[in-house]
Amino acid sequence: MIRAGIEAMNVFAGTASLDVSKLAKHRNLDPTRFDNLLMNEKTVALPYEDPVTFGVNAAKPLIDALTPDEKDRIELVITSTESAFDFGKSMSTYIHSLLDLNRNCRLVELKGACYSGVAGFQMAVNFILSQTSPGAKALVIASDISRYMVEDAGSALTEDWSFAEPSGGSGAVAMLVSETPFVFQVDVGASGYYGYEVMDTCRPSPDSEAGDADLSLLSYLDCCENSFLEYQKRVEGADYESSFSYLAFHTPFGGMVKGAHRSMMRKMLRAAPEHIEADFHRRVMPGIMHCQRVGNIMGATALLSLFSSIEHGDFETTKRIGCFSYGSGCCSEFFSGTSTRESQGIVRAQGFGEHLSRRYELNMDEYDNLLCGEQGSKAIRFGTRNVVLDSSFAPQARQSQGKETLFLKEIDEFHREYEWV
Amino acid sequence: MNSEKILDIIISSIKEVKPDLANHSFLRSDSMADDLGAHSVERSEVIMITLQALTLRIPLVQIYGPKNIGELADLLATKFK
Repeated sequence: MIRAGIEAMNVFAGTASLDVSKLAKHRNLDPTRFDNLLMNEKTVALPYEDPVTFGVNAAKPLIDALTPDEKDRIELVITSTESAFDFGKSMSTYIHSLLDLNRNCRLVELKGACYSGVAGFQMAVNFILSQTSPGAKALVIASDISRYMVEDAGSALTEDWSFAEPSGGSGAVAMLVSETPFVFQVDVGASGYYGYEVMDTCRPSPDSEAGDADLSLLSYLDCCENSFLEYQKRVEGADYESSFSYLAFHTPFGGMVKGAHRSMMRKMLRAAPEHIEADFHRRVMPGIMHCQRVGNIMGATALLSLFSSIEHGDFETTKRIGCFSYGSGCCSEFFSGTSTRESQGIVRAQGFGEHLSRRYELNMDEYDNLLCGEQGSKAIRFGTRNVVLDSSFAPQARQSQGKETLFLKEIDEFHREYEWV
Repeated sequence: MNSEKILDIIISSIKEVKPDLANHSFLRSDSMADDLGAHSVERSEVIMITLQALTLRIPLVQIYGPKNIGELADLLATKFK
């Protein structure tokens, strides 16, 4: 039987970060309520970064590790995002060009709010399983950014943004999907999907988000239960606790995952509070750890959590990971797969923790300038036709990675020009 | 199941999620967020526990909207008709 899944995987979470407890203090948020978010840092997208720079920086090490023949077998590039800057042109075309991939390749983009990354992954897995092109590989890049901007620095900063601002991050997960799934082998057919129309969180206009936290939470919990129940129908004997060594959840913020896990443990197993708490730390926390330092990267978050589980879990023996993805609007999926000690070695070799620590920490003045200043996020609002980005904005960030990093140089008649720095 | 009985279940669910409210005198007009200080995850947990206690299986998004616990009890009561 053909196997399929993730052959190689990497995450890029930008060049600048923010300490969210300092942000909470700066915005006068209630510290007790803030602690419930379980958030430490978040990546902030600078004006010369966009979903393409994040995506290419994530994918480059994976592509560089391939032989020319292997690289030529990439026949599908999917970008999964809700942060695209063009309604028609797929960002996969830029990424395909910047990575110099074979032209006999399908290039396409998927939208599905925070579900997009898993949707792209599943499409790629099915391309591999279909064996319509034996030996082919797919490159899936889930890349999303939060680019907040404030027209007038007034009360809006403290009132409307409340608890969304500390959790909105930026980042990309790149995955090479093939029939040699060294990092994560999917359990074929073990997927429960569940979706319906609901207006919980959306991006109905350029550069802004709208949503209702309560409705979104209820919808997330509904999907968490119903996607797993569907999984259980398809996988005989599946048990929420004993079947999965780890659980990787879509993580808008850690506190929400903690609530969802508690609710599932109560519903599926009638578990007692102490049992639930211990289980959360054992099976769920490994997947949240990286998310706590990056923030919500929408379509890429569930995959970041999977990456984090593989990096932080114990894989002395092969372990099964249950993954839950939820995208507002909405669609969701619970699926599973297995990872090994070798998988963990591949993931750890990417040095993601070090990458996170190398990000330049913005101070509050720099961050507010990014939100409010004309050379900040406003310089690159949706629909920008021509602009040369200000490379002197937080210049320490540009050198932070200690290796070549892709940045956006300018937009010339809507076309984006990039540079390696 | 009438609204008053459901309100009692909602109140015991709130006490389970927020033990600091054990001695609070609840009013139908109490808003979970503003008056009872429950954050969004706690509010959703109250709803989950209440539904479980009522053995009511309905899509959670159907019970979105009430402004206070009295309205929530009224809405849930309609699900038994």
